[in-house]
Amino acid sequence: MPKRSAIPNHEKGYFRAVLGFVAPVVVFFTIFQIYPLMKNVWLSFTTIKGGFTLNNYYQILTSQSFWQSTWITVSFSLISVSIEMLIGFVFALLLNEEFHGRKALRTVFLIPWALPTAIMATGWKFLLQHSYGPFPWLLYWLHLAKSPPYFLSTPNLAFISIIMADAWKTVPFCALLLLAGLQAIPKDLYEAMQVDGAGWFFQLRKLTIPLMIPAIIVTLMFRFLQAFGVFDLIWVLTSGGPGNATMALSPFIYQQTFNWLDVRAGAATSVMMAIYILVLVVIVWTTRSYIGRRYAQ
Amino acid sequence: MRLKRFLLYVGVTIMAFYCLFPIYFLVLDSIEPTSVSYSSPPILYPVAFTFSNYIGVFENIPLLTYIKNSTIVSLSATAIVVLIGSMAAFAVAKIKFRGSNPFMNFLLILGFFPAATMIFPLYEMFANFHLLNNYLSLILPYTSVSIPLTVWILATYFEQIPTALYEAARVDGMSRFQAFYKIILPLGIPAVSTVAILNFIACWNEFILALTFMTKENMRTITVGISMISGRFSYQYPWGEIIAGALLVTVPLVIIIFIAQEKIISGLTAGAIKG
Amino acid sequence: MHRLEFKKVYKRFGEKVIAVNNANFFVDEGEFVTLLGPSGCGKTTTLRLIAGLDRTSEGEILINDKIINALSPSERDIAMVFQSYALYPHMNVFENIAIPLQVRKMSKSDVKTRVGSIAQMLGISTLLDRKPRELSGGQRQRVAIGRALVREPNLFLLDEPLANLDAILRHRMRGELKALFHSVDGTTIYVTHDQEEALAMSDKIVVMNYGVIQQIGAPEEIYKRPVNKFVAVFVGNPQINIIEAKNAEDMSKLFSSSKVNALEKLTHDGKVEIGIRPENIVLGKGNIFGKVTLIEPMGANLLVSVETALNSEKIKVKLFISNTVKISEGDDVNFSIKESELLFFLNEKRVDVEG
Repeated sequence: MPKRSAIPNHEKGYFRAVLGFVAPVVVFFTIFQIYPLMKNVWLSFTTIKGGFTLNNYYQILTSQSFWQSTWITVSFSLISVSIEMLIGFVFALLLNEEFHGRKALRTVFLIPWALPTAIMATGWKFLLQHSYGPFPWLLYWLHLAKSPPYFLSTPNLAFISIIMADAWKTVPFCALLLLAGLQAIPKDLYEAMQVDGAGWFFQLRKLTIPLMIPAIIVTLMFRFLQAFGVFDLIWVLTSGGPGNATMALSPFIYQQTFNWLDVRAGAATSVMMAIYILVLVVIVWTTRSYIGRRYAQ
Repeated sequence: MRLKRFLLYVGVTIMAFYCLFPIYFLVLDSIEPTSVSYSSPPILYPVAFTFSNYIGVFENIPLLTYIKNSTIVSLSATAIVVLIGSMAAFAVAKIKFRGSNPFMNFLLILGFFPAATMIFPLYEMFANFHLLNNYLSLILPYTSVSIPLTVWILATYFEQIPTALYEAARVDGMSRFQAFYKIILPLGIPAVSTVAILNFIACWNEFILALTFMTKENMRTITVGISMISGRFSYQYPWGEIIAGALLVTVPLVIIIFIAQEKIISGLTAGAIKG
Repeated sequence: MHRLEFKKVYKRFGEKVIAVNNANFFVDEGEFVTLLGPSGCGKTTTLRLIAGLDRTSEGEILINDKIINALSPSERDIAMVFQSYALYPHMNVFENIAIPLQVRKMSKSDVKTRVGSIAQMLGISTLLDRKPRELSGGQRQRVAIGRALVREPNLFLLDEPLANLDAILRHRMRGELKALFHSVDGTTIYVTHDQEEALAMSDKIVVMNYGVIQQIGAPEEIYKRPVNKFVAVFVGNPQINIIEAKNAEDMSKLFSSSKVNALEKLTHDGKVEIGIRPENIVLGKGNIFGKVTLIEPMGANLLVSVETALNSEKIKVKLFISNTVKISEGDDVNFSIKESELLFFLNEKRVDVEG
């Protein structure tokens, strides 16, 4: 056996050892993650009697509600993630400066992130209540609305509401992630620019933004994948309503399965959603390695 | 220079305001008596003060039971996932078995699938085994869901521990498992605690599985319990009590944040930016 | 060209750390001045104060007799080469060198000619399209220097620019840098912990320790007439021999009685430390006797450690001889000392001794 390091690669008991370390994780994953996914695939292709059918897919792919759901999910993810990254980046730039109470503010930033989404959504449900919630009235008093808006019972406003609540929870989180990226930029690069005579905006344009692009893109894509699965927020805040105006894919699957008891339609929707996710993951994965190569330092 | 400072502090004020203004209104609502908080238009500054909502929430809602349930489920899942996750992370980072990279990627990719895509088969499984309304029905899937992040963060950290330490331990006669729990694991404690905190918070906050598998009132977790209150009173939402409850159950999380701020941030960045 | 002056400059970090302690010095137009000292002596902080990257706690920094304390780095018309080179990783060599010109909104064609001529001068014309990660250490350093030279500033600051190079390259660049900065018109402040570099390159050396300037002088002066033991020991390789003489009898073993008498008048207890540079000890003649304990071949020369006895105790000195001399460890030898080159230290400070 050729010796390459202090520990030969395949000494006695190697495979048993590896298996021992990895097995518990694999077992858990197989039972609680892989099996349910596979089971859903199976359900989606079968009739109640167990025969093969494409009917479940035919049913959802021709239904308006599935496509509407898809559209709502995509637009919700796109809009909220873009807003979050934009504001988050500005906040991160501010947090990267020296000021009194900076540490305290960073702690405050973690509060929205750590709040359970369901509980945060409960709070927002109160804040957006038409008659005694503060938010509609604030808009009215600030002359931003002609009368206190009915946030949760107007389709467009309900959609805006979930984006607003999601942004509130996630902007600080994005800001902290981007702040870590900012702090990873070597300080002497900024010093060199200053000595060379560059002002604040020049530094931002020529140094900060180009160096942050990989971190921004990666964070954006991962946040997008997360937002794609949104459930708690919608279920608590709007229950998908009014009508189906905020029925994203996750709550749609839940509704099909547990409210309408149409398990096989739910399974087909799940598989479709899994396919969306897979496509996204492939995009993320390839762009990530592309970015990695382009910006590797 | 002075203008820049001024603008900076304006920005800082806006940021603090952004994070805190919804919380201000919630706190305000929770300390006002019903007569004030149900006035329309609302009064946006404190006019009266009462604890009645905080007392009421304990009388009308089994808040302590929810907290107990959430604690049991979150702690158990966290303990299990840290144990098995650190073993797998060790194998990935230090034994570097063949296929450890695809293994890691596989875990990460599956981790992106939302719970909704697998919820019915899990429900059916737990129903068949009579595990609905049993802590196990949450502990087991929570453990599984936490695996990708755990293994990822720990493997990244273990990678940075010099392999020479592991090799020295092996040359000195330790088995792989001994080298793991006597050398690598103790050195990895900072990352282990970070992961434990992140997982605990994630389990504590979980909603969809808890909503589905815990249908009895006395088995509900906090997130489901609080958000379901509204449904029980058809005539009027007891907003004061709901908000009081929501704020109360947030307190433990805020305490964790205050204590472990640095760890949380380092874990988030390791898990999210590089992940 | 700039003149630079430090007047009673202090830099404190927090309560306890004084990085620069009452620094006063003057750099004339076109001078090449080196700040020399061990790590943590405050030399880099001094440089950062000049650049404006750190603010003084007290005192004044003047350029051309104008106080510049309040000016931001970009207003000081200074170019700096960082120890890490601080090359922008996402820009290629051309863009890196062009940045100071772009900041000044120079036209594209002018930028091109200027960068081109600088690149030519530094021999990096073929590398202009490369990113910093595709360059070797020496090439990166040239780019960093190019970035400093391109805008023809009046004051250059160089922070250990050779520290990250390997030994051979370091030696070569030493000569090149010296020639380069003599050819461009500009005042240069150079920071290093390497005394050889300082001796070889500078017009003037400022030796620092624990934030305090120890001595300011030309290289030869620093080497031959150090003001205190620290400077004597820090400058010179191999280190100067320091011998502690406890009384007049010890002294009389080493040098003439007239010096001994003069010294005795200066000391209270008869104790004095004597510094002898290795090259000032001559082996084979003289009336000090000792035994060879160690021979370290250094190429052309041998560095020989000789043990000898004063009245009170044994001492060890190191000296050079040519590698043609046959000598081996354990040999009994005699040697003499060039009395005129001796340095005397009382309480760490050098004293002049007549006689």
